Amino acid sequence: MLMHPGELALTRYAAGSAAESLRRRVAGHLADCDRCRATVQSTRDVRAALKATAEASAPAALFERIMASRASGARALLPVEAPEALQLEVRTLRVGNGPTISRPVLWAVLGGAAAFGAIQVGGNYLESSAVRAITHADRTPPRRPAPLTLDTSIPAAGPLDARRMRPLNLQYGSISFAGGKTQSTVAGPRVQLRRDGGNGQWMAITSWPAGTRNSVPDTIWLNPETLEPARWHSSYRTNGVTTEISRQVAGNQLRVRRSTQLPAGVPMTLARAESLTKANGATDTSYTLPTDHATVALSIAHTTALMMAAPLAVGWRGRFTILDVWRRRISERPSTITITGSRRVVTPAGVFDCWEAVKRSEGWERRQWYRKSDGIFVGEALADINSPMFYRTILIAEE
Amino acid sequence: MTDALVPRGTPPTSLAALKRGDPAAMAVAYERHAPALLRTLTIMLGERSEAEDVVHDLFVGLPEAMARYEERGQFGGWLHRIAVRLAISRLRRRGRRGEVAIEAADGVGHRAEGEAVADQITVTDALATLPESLRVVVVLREYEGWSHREIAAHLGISEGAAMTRHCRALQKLRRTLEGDR
Repeated sequence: MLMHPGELALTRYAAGSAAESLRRRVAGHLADCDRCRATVQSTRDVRAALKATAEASAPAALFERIMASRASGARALLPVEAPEALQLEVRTLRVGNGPTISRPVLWAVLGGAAAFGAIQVGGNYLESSAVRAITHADRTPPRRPAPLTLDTSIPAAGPLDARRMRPLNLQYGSISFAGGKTQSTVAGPRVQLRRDGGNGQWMAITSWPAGTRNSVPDTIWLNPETLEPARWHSSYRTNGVTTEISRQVAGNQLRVRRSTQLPAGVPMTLARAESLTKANGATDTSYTLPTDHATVALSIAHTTALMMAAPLAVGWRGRFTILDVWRRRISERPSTITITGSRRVVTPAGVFDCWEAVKRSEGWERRQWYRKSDGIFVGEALADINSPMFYRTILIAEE
Repeated sequence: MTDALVPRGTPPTSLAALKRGDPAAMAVAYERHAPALLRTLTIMLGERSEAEDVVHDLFVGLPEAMARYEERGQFGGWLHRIAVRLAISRLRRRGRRGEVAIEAADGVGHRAEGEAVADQITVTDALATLPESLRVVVVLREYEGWSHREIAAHLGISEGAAMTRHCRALQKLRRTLEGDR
């Protein structure tokens, strides 16, 4: 009587993952068994059908959304590093080819390099309870995010109190964190709030470190009472092409002026100049867009100003609309911030008693911390801090 | 000329231009890589809109992430790995198991030819009926070409478990496609 291999063994064989002994046994069997041969062939057909699945279409609207996000200053820290299990394997192999270094010494060297990159802090910016939660993330049952509620908003001149505002100069850093260790650190935005000497308006200024965005700071002038944006200005440079954008709010109209300057004296083909002009919009345009938002948050500095002026307490919920203007269109991203509790947060700039908040915006969810004494933004974690890998923006200096 | 606009299929995109976030270089990279990324991510996440969110985040962070790209590797493979890590992180957060995606057949596997359409939708539908734990493994193995070891490390499971899940997924797909449920 013919002994058939099990279905899993046949699948392993067809998938090319059978060990040598199993591979030989199945191959020998297949020579005499039509039924098992058909099973193997059928599994191979499934693999071929999978590989033949057409790629998805990539919509132009998605690309526009990406570029609009970047133009508005949004950045995402990506999980560039492989999981530690794979890194360890690679590092061990490299050591094997050179001088013999014991693993503890190797890790000490790597850990030291990581700590240096993390502004002399090992990355445990949260209290130990949070760190324990991260370390034991695999044993934490997955949680479904709470349902989104949009029941209240900040009225234009309601609970916001501009008298709470004061001049600020804050430096943030962005840190990726995984497996109980800081993986990488990059300089983040600098946020400044100050009075314009000319008209007494508050200026909310967000600047990005050189190399992450070739720009002069985004500056927003705020109505001194309502903190609504009165006008704002940004500029960025790519490939020597400078684009300046200024916008002004007048009633429910947004006046936009965009000018693009191609570099002078640089040899450039006509096609290249055309493509750059196309990518950056016409060289000098003005247009008007309707807007009727009482409260909008246009930058990190602007959000900081609004939160400083808001009466924060557990249960407080604010709604902002983030406006992106891109290629003559306004896209609106509703965003909510809800204060959910308190937490002591340790940062390189100090230890602060903070309100803990959840900010939600179009598929993003961030846990944020605002200082109780004055509402300034202390930091945030993208993604769930209980997941093994996440990213933080955190206050690293306050002047 | 390092910043040349390159027609589709002609490598490489200027990496220096990508690092600066140059819109033209971003457009070339998007056009070249987004279709395959969206296919993988839509099947992994079970929802087209979530796949688009991941591609959005990926490209928004790409210029800054380029600082840590080592040119000896394949750029496309590097990009796909980051996208998959973002997707795995999303799956962990939402913690859904075994849900059948309604959208899975939309936007993925569309083709104009007559019979091919029926085959394509059947394979895509069959994938959508797999539990998430099997679907993710089969996508990483068959579409992304990952080794069982790599899959195991990213999902936090053993190499043997990765291999078994891959085979179970193929078994289930075969039965579904043969009508033997």
